Amino acid sequence: MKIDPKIIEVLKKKIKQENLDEQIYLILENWLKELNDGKDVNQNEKIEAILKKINV
Amino acid sequence: MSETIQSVKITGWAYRGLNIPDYDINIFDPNSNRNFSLILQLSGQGKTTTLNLLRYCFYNFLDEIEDKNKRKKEFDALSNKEKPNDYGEFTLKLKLNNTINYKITLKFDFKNYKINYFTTAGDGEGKEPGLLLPESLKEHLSSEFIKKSFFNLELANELLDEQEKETDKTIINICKLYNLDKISKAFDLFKDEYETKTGRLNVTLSKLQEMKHTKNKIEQSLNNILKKENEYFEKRKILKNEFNTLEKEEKKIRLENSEINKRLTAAENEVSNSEAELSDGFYNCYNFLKNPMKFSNEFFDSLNNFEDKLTKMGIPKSVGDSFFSELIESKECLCGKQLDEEMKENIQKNKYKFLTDETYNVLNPIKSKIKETKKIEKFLFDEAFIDLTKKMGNLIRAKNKLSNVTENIDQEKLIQITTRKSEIEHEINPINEFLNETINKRWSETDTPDTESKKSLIQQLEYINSQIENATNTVDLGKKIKFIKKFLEEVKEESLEEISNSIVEKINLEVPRVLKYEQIFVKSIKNKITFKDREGAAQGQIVRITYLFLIALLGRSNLKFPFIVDSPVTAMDDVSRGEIAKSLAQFIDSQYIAFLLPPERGDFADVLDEELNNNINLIVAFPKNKFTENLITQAKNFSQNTELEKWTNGIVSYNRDFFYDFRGRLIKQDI
Repeated sequence: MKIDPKIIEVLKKKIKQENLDEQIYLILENWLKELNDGKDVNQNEKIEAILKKINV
Repeated sequence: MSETIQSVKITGWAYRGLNIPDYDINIFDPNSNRNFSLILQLSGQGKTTTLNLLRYCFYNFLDEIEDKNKRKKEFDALSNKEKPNDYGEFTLKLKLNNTINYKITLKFDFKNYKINYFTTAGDGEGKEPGLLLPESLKEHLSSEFIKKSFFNLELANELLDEQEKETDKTIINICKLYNLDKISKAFDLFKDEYETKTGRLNVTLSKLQEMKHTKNKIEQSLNNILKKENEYFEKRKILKNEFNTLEKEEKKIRLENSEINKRLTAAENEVSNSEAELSDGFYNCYNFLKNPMKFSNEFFDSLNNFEDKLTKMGIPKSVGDSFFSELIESKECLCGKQLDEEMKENIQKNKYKFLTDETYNVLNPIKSKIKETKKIEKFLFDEAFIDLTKKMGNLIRAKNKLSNVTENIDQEKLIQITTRKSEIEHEINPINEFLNETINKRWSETDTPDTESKKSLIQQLEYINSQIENATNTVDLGKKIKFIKKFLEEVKEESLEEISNSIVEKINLEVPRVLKYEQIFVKSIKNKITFKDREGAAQGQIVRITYLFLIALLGRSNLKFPFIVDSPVTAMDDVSRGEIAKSLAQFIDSQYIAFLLPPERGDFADVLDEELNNNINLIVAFPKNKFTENLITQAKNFSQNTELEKWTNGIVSYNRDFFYDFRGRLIKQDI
């Protein structure tokens, strides 16, 4: 099921603002979609993938 | 079932053994393109109860009521008062994605105040215990979502209450912004697990376990506080709603009383005037009674004759004796006539017939009274007595009026309202103290996980997290997770703002049409709805803005879920009703069901009907009993598509003409 377009819009914008890897955006978008559909699988894989892409 | 649910439509429901007749309501959906249904019912015939029953089909609100008395009250409101049963049943029929049939049955246990859920998936007859809806649908069915989708006008006031932040909560819920929190929470769990698994410890295992134990305690305490915070928010909202309702009722009674005061003064004056008039009437009649000779001509004549004779005998004895003795001695009478012996003898004989002095003194005033008495026509005193009766009647009527007016002064109700209002204020005070002060108390070094300060617990949690990160060599991971959590929080905040702005834009686009004669534009919906260039708005205006808010908001949801409204256009003038109907027809693409009172029909149902080219279900439903005989007679004139005999204690009609012709007015008079 679709996520509210404004969430996607803001997510994209913030990823750019924070100079984050686009992969993070894709993972988060997909994750939100899953949650919208009442699913939430392979959390750890997604988290690890995101953490790998973050440099702080 | 793994299919994603994108639309839910209600196709009907059935009541059995509840306080609503045992009938079925069918919501027809020919060609799967009929979204609108209006159900016309009189007040007190099940509109609000049905709205609640529909809500319970998706979310067990009754289970959340911890107060036994309140829970009992809610169940009692559903039970059949005429034929009390231990059990009652409500079945809702649904169609998911326009293809899959579902049935949800609620079995009410009125003895134990419980609802047992049963679900039938597909077209089969078997029932599975529980509310077994597809996961992707369940995900949507939060209490907030159901409350907004099954809407009554209480929400209108909540949306204007800054303290409750209802607008933000509603948007977060409907647009599923809370999913960002879920992701955030997943990072916390990941970190927690990682810390436990890592072998690179800077402290002993028992020390780490101690730290983890403290962390758990803080988290548990924080969860409890968050739960309490939510409960208090809900409780405050309910109390405020009750307070507002009481205030409205009080205002109405006071207004009525001020009208009554005017009527009371008028009634009191009328009584006082009638009393004065009656007193005059009595005086008048008493005068007649004091002079009984006025009553009859015969009596009057006899009295006058009597007086005349008295006058003739009007010479007192003392005077009479010497007078008559002198007269006998004289040769002639006073009239000049010669007195002979016979005449003198007669005078001598009759002079004793004249009055004694004493008798003369008594009779003389009577004589003068009789003389003063004028002959009065009978019709005059007849009139006086008739007038007296009339005046008596006027006084009785004036006194009855006064008593009616006095009875209408609802002092007792006013006292009840004032008492309850003060109780509510008393109940709200500790809630406000908790929500405004306790949970926001600053952290202090001496704070323990037992504190009720949310701020302190968050700080304690940060501190212990940092200790654990140091102890487990996960500082870098902690930093990353802190960063992503902050990022997600910002996405949530900004999305909320963007969505809010877009909703405001949409509302304001509709304002010139829906609030044609008093255009009120929305400035912001941050925390609450605020207006441009003005503080507040009239109730009718607030309701229309609420409608526009909900239409704009529910339109954003990807799940096409029924939007069900109780009394959709009360407190609205004819223009607004028509314009709301147009907005609904134009913007609602999910199912819309409204429970309508007859006064709401005009300028709303007809407009909606026209806008939708008659693609609308128009339904009338009412109970069959001695009070509804007039309605039954009306229904018989529209027998086509009217279930006159199908149900033992109710009638359901799908006849459009009956919908428009249905009048409840006569029933009121009968009652």
